[in-house]
Amino acid sequence: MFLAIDFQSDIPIYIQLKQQIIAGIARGELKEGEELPSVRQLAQDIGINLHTVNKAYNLLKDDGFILMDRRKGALIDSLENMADEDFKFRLREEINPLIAQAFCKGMTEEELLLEIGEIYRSYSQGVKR
Amino acid sequence: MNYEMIIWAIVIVFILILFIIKLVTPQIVRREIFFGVRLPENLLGDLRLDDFKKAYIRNYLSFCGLYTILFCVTLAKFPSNAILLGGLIVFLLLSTWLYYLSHQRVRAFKKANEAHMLNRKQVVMVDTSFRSDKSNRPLPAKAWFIISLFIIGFNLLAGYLAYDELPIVVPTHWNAQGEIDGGVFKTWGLVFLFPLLQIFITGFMFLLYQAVGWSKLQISTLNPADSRERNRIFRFRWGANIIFLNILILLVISLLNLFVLQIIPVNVPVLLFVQPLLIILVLLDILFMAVWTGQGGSRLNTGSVNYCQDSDMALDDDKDWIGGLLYFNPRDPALFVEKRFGIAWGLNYGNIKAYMLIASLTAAFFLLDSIIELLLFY
Repeated sequence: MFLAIDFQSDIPIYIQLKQQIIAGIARGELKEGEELPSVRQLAQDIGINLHTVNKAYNLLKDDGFILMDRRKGALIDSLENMADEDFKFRLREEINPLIAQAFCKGMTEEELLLEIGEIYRSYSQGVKR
Repeated sequence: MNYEMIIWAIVIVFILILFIIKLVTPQIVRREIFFGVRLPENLLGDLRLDDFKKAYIRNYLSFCGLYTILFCVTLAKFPSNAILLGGLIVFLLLSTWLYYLSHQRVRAFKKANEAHMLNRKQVVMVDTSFRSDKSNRPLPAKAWFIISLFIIGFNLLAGYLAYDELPIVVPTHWNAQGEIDGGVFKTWGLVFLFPLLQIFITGFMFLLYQAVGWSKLQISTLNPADSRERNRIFRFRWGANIIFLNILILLVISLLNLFVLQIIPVNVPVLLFVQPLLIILVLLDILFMAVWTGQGGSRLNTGSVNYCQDSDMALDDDKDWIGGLLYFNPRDPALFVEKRFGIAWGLNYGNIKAYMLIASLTAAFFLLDSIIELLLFY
């Protein structure tokens, strides 16, 4: 799967890495058991500090998206293992300010739901749960 | 019979191949990197680029061409190692200077057209499965180096079997007339001399092979899937070529070993010409690989020509390249990077490891030299 890292972006590179890898899993481009490059190799290919990649991998591991195998390195975990009931609370927290903005910018509830539905379907087409 | 003239004729062929390699370099580089300058995709079709290229070739043919003729004539009249070495250095300086003039012009051209580069998103593309893809490997299997190990084993065996039959003083050096002018006392060290040389060369070639795999991935944003595949074939072919060259060099050394061990009778022309011819062959091989594949696979015909025009720009990393020739980026942990204007890979001179590598290779060379002395004279 291709990652496109934007060096001028306000979003830190480790967050870009994390978000793009999660999106890759959701699109089905990264499948269960697939190996990610080693921290060193990915850092060299992008041309960034090893710690940046390490940080992204650690976040992905803590959130249950990848496993750290002693021999194979970082592996994509299974969708069953990623499923997490507590996520709903975190989602509420993270999406809240965005919805507040949407309200202020004049979006209706229907428009918002339509937008969310479209994005969700773009991911769920690639993967069957 | 004097074979010296023939050896100098081979040297002149060597210089001519070097001249051709430098001449074709603008034709083998990546499409998006022009005379060491990264150009945005909307400038790639610009007709002025052809003028830059033509101007370079014109300059090169007149200046370097004239110089090469003078150099070859001088060498033919006064063949000497000092003239050869000095002449080669001047040739490299002259061709680099001509390149640099073109590089400066292209930079000015880019600067004059930078308006439409502003406020564009600049990205670095990587592929997470490039090295782990088992069905489409970027390098031939390491197991191919077993052939080299077999050749080394064969040489050791040959030395063991031939030892008893060797005379007390073994001839090891011949002059340009084909007369013996050097020898050593028979010791077990002599038997290990050529295998040791083969082990060092194989170790070095294995390092090069690994470096091809480790080297920085460069995927064009214009058509990532196509660029990735070009990159893969580029690496695969060079990896295979390193294995091939290693076997070729080991076979030539084996031949010399068999001569010294007196297993096959010395054939003077073969003995004298095999080494210079090997160097010519290696140069021709590099020239062929460069023209066949191109930097990053740029000369491959993948059938895919549709470029995405509204894609993001590739990160403008010109500032990390000194004169477009040397990569100097202390923030990049990568050690091996594809050359911008040249063939194959170079080092990241902003990385301390580059200097450690150069130092250890130099140390290895001197180590080999002293081990050989130790083997032969103690």
